[in-house]
Amino acid sequence: MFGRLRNRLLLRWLAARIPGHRRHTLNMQSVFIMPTRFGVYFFVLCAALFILGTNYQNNLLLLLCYFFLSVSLVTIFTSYQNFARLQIQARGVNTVYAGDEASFQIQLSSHSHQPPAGQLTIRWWGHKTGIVVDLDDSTEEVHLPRATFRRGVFALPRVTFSSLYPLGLFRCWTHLDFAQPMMVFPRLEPVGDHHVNFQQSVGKGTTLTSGQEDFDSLRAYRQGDPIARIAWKSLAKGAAPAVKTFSEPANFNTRLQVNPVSQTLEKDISQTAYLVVELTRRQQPFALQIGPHTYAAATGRAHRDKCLRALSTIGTQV
Amino acid sequence: MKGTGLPVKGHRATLILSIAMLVLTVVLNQPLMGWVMLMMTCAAVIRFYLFRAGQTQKLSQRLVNLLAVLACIALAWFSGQQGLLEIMVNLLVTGCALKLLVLRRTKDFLQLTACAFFLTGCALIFEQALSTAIVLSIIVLLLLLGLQQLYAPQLAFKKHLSANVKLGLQALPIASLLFLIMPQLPPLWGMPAGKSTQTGLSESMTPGDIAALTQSTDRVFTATFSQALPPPQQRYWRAMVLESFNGNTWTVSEYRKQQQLLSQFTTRTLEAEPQGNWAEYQLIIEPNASKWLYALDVSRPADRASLTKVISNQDYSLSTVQPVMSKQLFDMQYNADAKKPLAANGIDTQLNLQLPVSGKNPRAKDWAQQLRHRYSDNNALVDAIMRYFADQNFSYTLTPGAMPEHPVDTFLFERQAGFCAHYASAMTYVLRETGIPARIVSGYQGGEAITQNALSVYQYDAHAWVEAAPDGKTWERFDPTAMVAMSRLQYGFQQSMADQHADMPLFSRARARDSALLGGLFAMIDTVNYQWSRWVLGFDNERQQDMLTDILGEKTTTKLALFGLAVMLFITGLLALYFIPKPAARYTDEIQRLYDSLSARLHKLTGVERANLSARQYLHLLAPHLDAQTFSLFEQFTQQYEKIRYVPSGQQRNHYARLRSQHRILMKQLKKGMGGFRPSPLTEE
Repeated sequence: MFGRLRNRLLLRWLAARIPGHRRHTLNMQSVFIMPTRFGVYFFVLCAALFILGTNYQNNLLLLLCYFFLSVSLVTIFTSYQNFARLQIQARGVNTVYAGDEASFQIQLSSHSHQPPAGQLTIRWWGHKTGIVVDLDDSTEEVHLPRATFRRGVFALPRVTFSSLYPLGLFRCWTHLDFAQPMMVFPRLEPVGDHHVNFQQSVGKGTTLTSGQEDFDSLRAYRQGDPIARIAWKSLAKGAAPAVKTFSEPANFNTRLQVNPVSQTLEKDISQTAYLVVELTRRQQPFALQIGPHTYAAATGRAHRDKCLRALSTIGTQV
Repeated sequence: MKGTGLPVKGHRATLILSIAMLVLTVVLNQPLMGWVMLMMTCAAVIRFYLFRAGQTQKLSQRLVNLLAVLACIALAWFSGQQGLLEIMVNLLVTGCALKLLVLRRTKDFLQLTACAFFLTGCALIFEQALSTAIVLSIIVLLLLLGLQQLYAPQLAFKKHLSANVKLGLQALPIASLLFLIMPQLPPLWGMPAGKSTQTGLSESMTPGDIAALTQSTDRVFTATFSQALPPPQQRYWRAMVLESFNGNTWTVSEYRKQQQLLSQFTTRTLEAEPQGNWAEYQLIIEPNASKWLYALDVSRPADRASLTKVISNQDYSLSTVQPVMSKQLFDMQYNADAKKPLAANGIDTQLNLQLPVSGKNPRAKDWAQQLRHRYSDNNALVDAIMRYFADQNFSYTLTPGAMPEHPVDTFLFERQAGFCAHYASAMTYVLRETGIPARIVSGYQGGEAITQNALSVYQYDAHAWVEAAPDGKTWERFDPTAMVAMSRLQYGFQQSMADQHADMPLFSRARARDSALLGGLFAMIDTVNYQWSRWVLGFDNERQQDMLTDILGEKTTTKLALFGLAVMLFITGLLALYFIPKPAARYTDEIQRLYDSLSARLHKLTGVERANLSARQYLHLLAPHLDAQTFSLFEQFTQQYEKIRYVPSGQQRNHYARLRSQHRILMKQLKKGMGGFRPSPLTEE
């Protein structure tokens, strides 16, 4: 409860401080720096050395103590300087089906003549673990995986970049918002594709309306042909397996329907999405109707993506 | 990040840490026990092996735990021989060695590094010579390098090294400044002192037991005089007074020890106006873990800072409140003419007429009786004893052989050869038998001038002499050894023993006398070490205050506040100097600068930006905007620019010169009434 409130306040403050942008150049505004646990121990060590030096009246011990203090002082600046050389640019997220792992591509570069050094930890906001990138390893593009659970369009959360270079005494970090939407298509749920042919209703809300089923001819079975089209009768007679082909002027007639108020909406959407993918694979034109909206029949990748996008945003405000 | 595992094979950070640990162990050889050092060496060697071969077999946690338990038992077993401090250091090093064996995670690495930092500090307790300080600073840099390597494993080693050195150099001025201005506090509480570090003079002396005296060439202290050095005959450095005798052994009397304990708790005050001729000097005492100070007759603390550290005992010896565990500086003053009266309450007389109850040394006793009958005057009696040493063919030797039974008799009437302890012991005993209060003073005699007004005193200058009160009122110094070895008094131990040190090690300081080169080398090292001790190790509260007074004049709160502010500003300035980016560095490339200035000007005039275009592309892009003359000029310029840039042989002086002149002409052309360009063709149509 308290944690959530804190999280929300923090995010609001961050939104004002580091507004979302596709490309970020780190500066004083966006970089935070604090001692790590090791850094705190280091200060305790300095205190111990000071006490030892004072009690033994040992000037070299005192000098060592002051040297360590100066080193940590200099390190604050060194680590900031190193970290602030980073220039981070979002390259976008690949679109995936819900349940798959999306990958966010980030391009790391430097705006200084001297490249940043050291290991960089990249993780999602609020996550405990992330990936570690070595900046000296000349990796320019980084893929940050993100698990997806639900369909829809999401704003990507902030990404936390942190670095301990050079001595691990201080942690430099920043939370960047790349203002990138992440599209998650519905989960695919296979349905037998005889539905396509025999005009059976899928679930309660989805109806497949097939066009004229004009039987045209038989042709030899090829691997990958749908089982539903196999001419069982001729096969039973001992002939070579054959497939029924239909003359399909179905451009306007294959119509997938989703009822947005159906009780099994998620299941319907998943099954429809499967059909969309399947029909596109077969290069069979289809139309999609979601509630009052209709997407005219067409085929091809663009059409598929348009339909999937429409399916994934059902019931969400876009 | 904290809990992540580290690779084993080829992990440079661990290797660097192991090396640093190994060197650190070698530097710490003084407090460390042999087997602890061996353990660390083993751990480091195993790490080297793992670095090359990788983890072939995992060391079981059980084995390591067993090792740890065994090590703890061994430490406990040997703990009787060592002080608390040494035990702690041994324990820490043992722990580090075991941890190094099982180093697996980042957390382990950080723990080890922190321990190593702390051990570096501990090493400084035991030794503060310049050479040690240099080695330890290298170790610190190594440890920092290891940390860097941990957080940037792929960075080139050269870059690591330069970053490391840069870090050290950047931190050093700030550290020095802090060292100079941070207040030097008095000890907050007492710290454990090491047993084995106690060196130098002992609180008891048994001349008969020492068959051969071994001479150490360690430095004991250095004294810097504000005026001229005292003459060699006056360089008697008193340390402790031995007043209790049991027939064989002289010890510091119990009464004096108790007095010394008591006076720790009394408040000591500085005498407001010293009477007589006091000369100031400054002692830099090497750590010896004892409380006795070495001072000329008659000395006392010269300032308030030293007063808080020094106790003036009733027997005119001086001791410190805390054992001297690290090089320390004391400001003293002495008065060679001051008298040392006996205590009014008669305690001195009582203590110094004490004789052993056992019937030892009967012949010496008889001789004392004879002397007493012959001389009624005490001074004449003392002279007679001194003369006896001179006349009876006594000799000075470092190898007199043991005299366990009746040591004084044996020395006086049989061997007639010995070193200072024998002479002092015999004379004091005889004097006491005749009823003259007498005691042995042990300390150092002599000293080697290392600069015009500084003396260094070494362990081989150890000496013992007699203080007696023939008149029963004031102590006088008698040195019976001087009767047989006058040269020792005048030229110091080294000269007088020239014939005896044939068996000394080749590179010893004693040998250095023979060779001019070696002697010069030793003298130079001495001088450097002396300056190091005086200015770095000896920098204390007093000197800090002096320095501040020198800078600020009279110290007022406002001035101090302003000074503090100035120091803060200075540090800020230093950091700014380190880290504010230098804009000039962007334009080191002259060719680029010429081209950029031109393209910026063209951009301003035509509104066409170069952006990421190549020079040629930009030229074509500009073509419609420029008139023919300017365009051809710019074309030539671009060609020249490309030639220098991309043709390897193009980087010649005349090419540069041509480019520069073309740049000048073009700029003039563009400036000339903005005539170089024509309106955009689009607007023309």
